[in-house]
Amino acid sequence: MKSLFLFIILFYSFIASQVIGQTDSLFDEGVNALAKDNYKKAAEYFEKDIKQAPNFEGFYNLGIAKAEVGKSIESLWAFESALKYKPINGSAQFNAALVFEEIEPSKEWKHPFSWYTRIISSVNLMLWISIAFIFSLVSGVIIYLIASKHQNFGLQKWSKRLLIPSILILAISIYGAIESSKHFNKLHFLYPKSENITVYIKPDGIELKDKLSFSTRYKIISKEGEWLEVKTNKNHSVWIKKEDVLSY
Amino acid sequence: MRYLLLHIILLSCTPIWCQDEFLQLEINPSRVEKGQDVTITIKTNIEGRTADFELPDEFTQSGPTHSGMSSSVNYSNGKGQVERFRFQKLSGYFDKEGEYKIGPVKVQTSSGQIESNTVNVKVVKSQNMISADPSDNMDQAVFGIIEQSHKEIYEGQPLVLEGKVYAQIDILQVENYHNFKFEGSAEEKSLANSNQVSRKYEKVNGKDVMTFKIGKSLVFPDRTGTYEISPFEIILLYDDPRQLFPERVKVRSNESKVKVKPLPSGTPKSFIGGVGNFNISASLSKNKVEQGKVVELNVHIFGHGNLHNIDAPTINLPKGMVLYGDPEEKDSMNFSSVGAEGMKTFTYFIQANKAGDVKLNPIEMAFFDIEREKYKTIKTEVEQLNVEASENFVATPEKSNDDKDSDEDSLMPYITSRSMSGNNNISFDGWSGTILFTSPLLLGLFFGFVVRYKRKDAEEKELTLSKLNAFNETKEKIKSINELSSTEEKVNMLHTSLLNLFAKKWDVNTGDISRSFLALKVKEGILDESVKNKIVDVLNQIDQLRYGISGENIELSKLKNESFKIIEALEK
Repeated sequence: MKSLFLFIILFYSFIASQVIGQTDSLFDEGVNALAKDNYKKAAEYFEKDIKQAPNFEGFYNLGIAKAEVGKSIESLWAFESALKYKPINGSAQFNAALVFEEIEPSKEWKHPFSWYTRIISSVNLMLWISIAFIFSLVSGVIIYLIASKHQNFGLQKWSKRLLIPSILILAISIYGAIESSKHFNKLHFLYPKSENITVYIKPDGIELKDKLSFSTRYKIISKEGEWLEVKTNKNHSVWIKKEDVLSY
Repeated sequence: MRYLLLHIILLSCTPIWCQDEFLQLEINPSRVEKGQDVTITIKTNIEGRTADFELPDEFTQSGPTHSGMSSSVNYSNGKGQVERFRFQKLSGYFDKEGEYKIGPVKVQTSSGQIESNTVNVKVVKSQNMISADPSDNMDQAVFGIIEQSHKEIYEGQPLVLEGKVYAQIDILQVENYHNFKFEGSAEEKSLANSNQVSRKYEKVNGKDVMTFKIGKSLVFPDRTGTYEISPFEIILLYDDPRQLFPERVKVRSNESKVKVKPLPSGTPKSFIGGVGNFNISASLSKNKVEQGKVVELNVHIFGHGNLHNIDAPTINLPKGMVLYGDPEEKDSMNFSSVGAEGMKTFTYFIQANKAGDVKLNPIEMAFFDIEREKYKTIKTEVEQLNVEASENFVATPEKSNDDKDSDEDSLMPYITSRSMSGNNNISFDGWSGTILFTSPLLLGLFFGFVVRYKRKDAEEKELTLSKLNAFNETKEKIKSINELSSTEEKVNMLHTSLLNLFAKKWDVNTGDISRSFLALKVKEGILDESVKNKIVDVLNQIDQLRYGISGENIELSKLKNESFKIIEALEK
């Protein structure tokens, strides 16, 4: 029992260290630069901040800084990247739509992620993991009580009743954690950095004449090292270098 | 002449007779700190007997009840009307935090009973005040100290100041009080009536000292810097036992200082000057409006701090919606030790020029949270507005470039602090995640079975041991048969011992042991045929002895030997 308690403490200490360990100095410097209307400097700080640990606030403020210096595509990419971390945030959606209206006045901005993804990833990954871990422990205790034929009849009865709900919540939270983790660790979309980026037939393969539209969001089909596969407007599958695009 | 006199009398009395009856209960202030003075006033113009009204147990009356006559002028439709009334005033304090309801007061008149309104008072925890150490001044018979809520505050943060008098002599009356002064530009609000003080006794350096607090004020400094707080002065009438008449003493308190710090850098764009703790909500005057018409957007900001000094939040309107003039301000607040507390409402007038369902942008505001010492950004959603298309609507010409900025959509403000939302970059789709999640389940299953096996093993061992003990116990009992006096007792003992042994051996009740049961055991191969016959033989002989059917020839010692043989056979 003591060792179990120690294990739980260690687990949560690990989680706490993950949360508290974030360095906020770059972010704060960026906010100070924004407050002084020094948008170029602010963008530099936020770029460094998201490179260290991608996060909603960093991407969001980067979007503001980029929009203020007139870099609309980069701003749109930053706001949509922010939405990857908090897909239902109203301010980020509003700003993304506003920036998109500047780029494509005739079109309407659409949220990059499906409703299903938005719901799953709007719950924090750590929360999914915490729920899964708690219910894994609860299910473990219940299984132990049932397997060991505990002599307390009342406890036995409740163990049998709670087994299925507990395992069900465990399964849902594991699924949520895995899906959420996949969402955060995967690259979903990209914007070309310029009109003239080179596309290839395969990674390190021959160059193609196909062109990607500068202001279009492309869905990433697959990834191979530093190469990303997308489909062009003509539905041709092409490969591009990651350094030539803004991806999230 | 008589008619003229009658008319004069009638005309002068009419206003009094026409005056509506009223019975009113008032409390001032309605939000107090624990131990702070509060005045309850009953006003009435009804002739009758004022019934006692119940006051909460937590209320302590600190002075006598004053009563008298007064009048006030009420203006209605430009005409002033004199209202005469009697009043009763009592002051005291609450010694427990909470919300208290006082009243109604009832007045018994010849025509029946009349009830007043009820009043509510909120009693909050007393604010921790900082002051100089009173024990350093105990060489003086009377001295005063300025107490203050903070030594350092941020600009915009309220500062509470209060004078405290310590007296080692019997104070009879407080006269001529001059409040302390904040030596800088500031907005000051009085929180207490300096004509009323409540005496308390405190121990300073082991001595009982009479104390009272006076002149509680709220100060909102205008500028940053270090400011002095000049002393308060008071004249006190005290009882000197050596003199025939009371004496007077003038007390001048200490001086104090306060530092007003500037707010930290990184001010959010949506900062509206609020320092304290606030919340925001918004509502439209109507959800449906005709194209070209104006709808009111009410933004309510509530909380405490420098609420009275906050600016209107910036509204970012979508295209087709035009803001009309400056917003109107209304407030409902009172001043207490936490600053201005209540609600401020800004009403914006919006002309809806675009038909269709219009979703107004969320309204955002930032304030400086004193507790966290950080800027905090909050926002509220606004419900959807349905603008009905109108044929009469004439679109206004495009605005000039100078005006463009004010109506054009602008980005929502930036974020000033990172939320503790945790790391989202942990990968849990591999083996590590699977092991982490399933390990408690597997451990539960494993330990469950280990415990079950161990328990079963222990139970079996216990059973074997008890069976072994049963054989020994039976042998001992049979051996000790001779110690019994009568044959009947001996036979019964032998019979019971054997049956108990068989029952324990085969895990059944003693009543189950019968000849047919033994035959079944033989059939199952558990019992040897010869042993069974011996048992049946012994049981038959016991029956003969018990019931006296030709049992005279049976020897008990032989029966005992037979029994031992059966036990040994069963043991094997």
